[in-house]
Amino acid sequence: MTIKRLFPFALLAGLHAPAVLASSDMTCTPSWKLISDQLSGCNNLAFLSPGNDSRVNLQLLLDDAGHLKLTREPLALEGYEYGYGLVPFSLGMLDPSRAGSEAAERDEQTADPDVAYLTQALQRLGIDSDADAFAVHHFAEGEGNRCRSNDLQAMRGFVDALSATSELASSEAQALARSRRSLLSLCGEGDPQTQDILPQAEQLQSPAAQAFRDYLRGADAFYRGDFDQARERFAELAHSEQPWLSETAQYLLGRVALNQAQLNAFDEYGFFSPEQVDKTNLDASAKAFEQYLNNYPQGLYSDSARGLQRRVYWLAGDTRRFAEAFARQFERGAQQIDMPALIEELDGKLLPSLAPDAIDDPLLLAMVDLIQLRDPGANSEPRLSLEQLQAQQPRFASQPGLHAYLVAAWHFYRGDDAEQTLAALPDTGAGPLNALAFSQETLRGLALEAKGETTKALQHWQALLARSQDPLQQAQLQLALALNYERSGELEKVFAADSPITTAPIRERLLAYGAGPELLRQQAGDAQAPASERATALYTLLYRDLDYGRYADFLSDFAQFPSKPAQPGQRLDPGVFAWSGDSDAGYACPSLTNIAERLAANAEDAQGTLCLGDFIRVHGLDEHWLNRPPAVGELGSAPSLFQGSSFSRLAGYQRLLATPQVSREDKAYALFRAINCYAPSGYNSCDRQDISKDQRKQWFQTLKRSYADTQWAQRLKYYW
Amino acid sequence: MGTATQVLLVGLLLLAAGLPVQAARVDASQHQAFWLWAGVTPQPVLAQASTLYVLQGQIDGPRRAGDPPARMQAQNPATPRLSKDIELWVVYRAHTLDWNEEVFALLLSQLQRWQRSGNRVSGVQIDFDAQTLRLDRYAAFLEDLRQRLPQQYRLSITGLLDWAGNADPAALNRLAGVVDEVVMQTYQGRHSIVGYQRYLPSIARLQLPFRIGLIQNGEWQAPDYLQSSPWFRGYVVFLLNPSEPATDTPATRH
Repeated sequence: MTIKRLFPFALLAGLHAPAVLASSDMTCTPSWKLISDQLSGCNNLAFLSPGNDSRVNLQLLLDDAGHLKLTREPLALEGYEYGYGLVPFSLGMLDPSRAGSEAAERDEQTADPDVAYLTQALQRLGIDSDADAFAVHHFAEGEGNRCRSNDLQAMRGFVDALSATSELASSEAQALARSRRSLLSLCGEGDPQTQDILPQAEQLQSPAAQAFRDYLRGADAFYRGDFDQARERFAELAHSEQPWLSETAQYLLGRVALNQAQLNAFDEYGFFSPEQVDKTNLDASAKAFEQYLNNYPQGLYSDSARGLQRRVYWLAGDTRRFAEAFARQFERGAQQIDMPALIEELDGKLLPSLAPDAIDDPLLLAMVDLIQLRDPGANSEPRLSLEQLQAQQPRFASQPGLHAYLVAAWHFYRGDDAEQTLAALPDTGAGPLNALAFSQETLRGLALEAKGETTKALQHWQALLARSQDPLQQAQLQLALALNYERSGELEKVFAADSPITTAPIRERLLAYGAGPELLRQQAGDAQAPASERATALYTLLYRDLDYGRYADFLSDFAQFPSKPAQPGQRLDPGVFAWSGDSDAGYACPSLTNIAERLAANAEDAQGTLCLGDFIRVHGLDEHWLNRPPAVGELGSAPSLFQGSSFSRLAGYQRLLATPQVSREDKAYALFRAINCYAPSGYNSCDRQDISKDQRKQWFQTLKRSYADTQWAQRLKYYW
Repeated sequence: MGTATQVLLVGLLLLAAGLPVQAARVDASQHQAFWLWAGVTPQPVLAQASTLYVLQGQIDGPRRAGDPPARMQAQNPATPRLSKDIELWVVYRAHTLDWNEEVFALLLSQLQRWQRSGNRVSGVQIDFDAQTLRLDRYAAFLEDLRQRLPQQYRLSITGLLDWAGNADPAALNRLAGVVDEVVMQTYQGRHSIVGYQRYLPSIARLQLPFRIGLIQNGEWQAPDYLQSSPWFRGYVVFLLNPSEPATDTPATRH
């Protein structure tokens, strides 16, 4: 849920990912760091981290417990999740999509199996059906509506029961089945009239047929919203001799009461108002489901009844039993239930009201504790104190390692104490690295890094990488290694032939932000490197050569590494540096190599300066994202290894204006361009200088008065 | 016109636009159109609403060809029952444009349910972060959706600031032929986008009906030229829960 909003530059910036971005729902961009204690649905890590979306942490825990199989292949969605590897991953990428099995079930090309089944079943009863006779209502996942159950599955149950009831005359079975089919279109008032749906009484003679008709009367009333009438019918049928009718009626009695209980529980905006729940009916509903499950522990509707029990607990505000019900349900495992739907339900319904005191299940408690370990904001106390966390120990009796991890995490994220973190972490031995063990070892590595023990941390990450068999863990360890090398200034090790760091976004990010000229040349010319990595290296090299005023280097690098045509999806295209010049704007510029030659000979050359400015302007390279490194802690935040200062075309114009020997024509163009730096918004789009309005006015007046005969004075009508 | 006059005019314009802009806080009580998102508790200010955009569903997946079809998750615990005085937009947050028939059928089903609950359903709003460079594909999707929507429903979309400045004008114009309005977001997460002002001139030049989306308690300073755009249709305020800790997401869960 929730919102987003991409800082618009990020769209164009490709690799650049501002740290402020993050939530499950906005356009996701990856944030390449391992320490995160603020919720970011876009940037989940492969270990139990406070910054993970709680649904990710829960899945890691459930995976450890064997209740769920977490996907090891998070897939980036092209178009809205941009620039990801495996880790970090957005919540959406982790979505198992109810993979594989359901894909086969719900192949759209083939007919709905329920329709096929019902068509045949009705044929056996002597009824022909068009496919569109089975038109049902459509509901979204999690959309609460009693008509959900007025579906083809329910109709199958009814038709099967008819077929199994030998007392029914075939004309009776036909009338009843037709009626059930008509009932499919019913949901609420204003739908087909009851008399048009129900079979005529005279068509039904046998007691069994009348009982089935009573069921249809009850169902008609229920879906129509006449709950009193529905309850009357189902109460009678609960004692029916027909086993299907009796079981179904007992279950539906619970639903009738539940619907009555929540009749006014949602306000005009659809928002839940707990105080409006009818407690009497809620109690009746709870009793009915309990009774049903006692009578039919493996019944036709047991799963549904358990799910509706959770709704009873939710409506009652009974978070303790609500949480218990989730824990029980999770234990049933992914084979029996729709785990992703259950996790969504928990996120939407249980989490908003969940208090740690109400949870006994260690997995759910750990999930909530990790939320509480998040950054409480400036000047706020941690939401969970160390004492409170330690006092939870008895509830973690079956999971002592998990509790120890949470205590260590408290010291790390809230106590800011690496020593205590290390002391609190148990030895995980050399066994397999499940999510908990991997979390403990990750935290150990992070604590070593925090203590400044970079070498020891490096060895730790390397040992873990050798141990882990899990693609997600390995991807995260690549990031850990890359951050470590970046911190110790050993970027070349990332690009060594035997480097385990193969994730393209990690490598390209380091090239774009931190790499010095030698490394860039090496990668630009490495025939073994992927095309996009070479292009990133070459682009960065040529851009920085120009930007830092290393014009001779630019010329030799440009000559040495001819750029190839850009591949689809490639983010940086060194081809832009093959600019052949431009005179469209009225000022003639030679090719970029020619410009660089002029500047190499004289860095103050007026035409060279103006034309380098035009190259930047035409290609939209002002304030290039390469010059805006990510926030501290993120990969790529180390300062660039290039020496010197960055070129600003506005500063170039200002220098020309202050240089006496610059020609009138060049000065006029410099003024024109300088003033245009503020067009049209009144904000400086050329660099970060804050030029006063008076100054801009003065430029304008100077251009108009002293250079009135130039085309630049004539073309400029405003200043901004 | 002489040079001096032109300078004077521009100077007045600058004064009127108030540069450098002194940002004002977005006060929901000064507005009549709101977004109501999942998990955001209704506020008293809703009593003065004339237009509401209520999030109803989220459409996710498929990941790639051959995967399970797109699916919709409900975002609203129950169907609203609003006064007929309120113009209601049913909002769908889309993470994909690869909708299958089931999702379209579901959307139409829901519109019908909302209508039958007594609401005055004005239309559908699609909230999708279309990349600027892919607006063309988005326009094709919207054309298809437009065809499927019954005539009485209008079609609205949210827009990113970046579109106005950087999108291909042809793609934007194509959108203009399809949607009835676009609501440009000036915020990201819980906060107004820093430097949103620099996009406003291009937004003001949009050639289709547009509104400006603000975030409650965010920043907004309206430039004068906005009011003079014949396409400007006012504001929509994204409501937030008041007591939330400062995070980048407006709701408390996860």
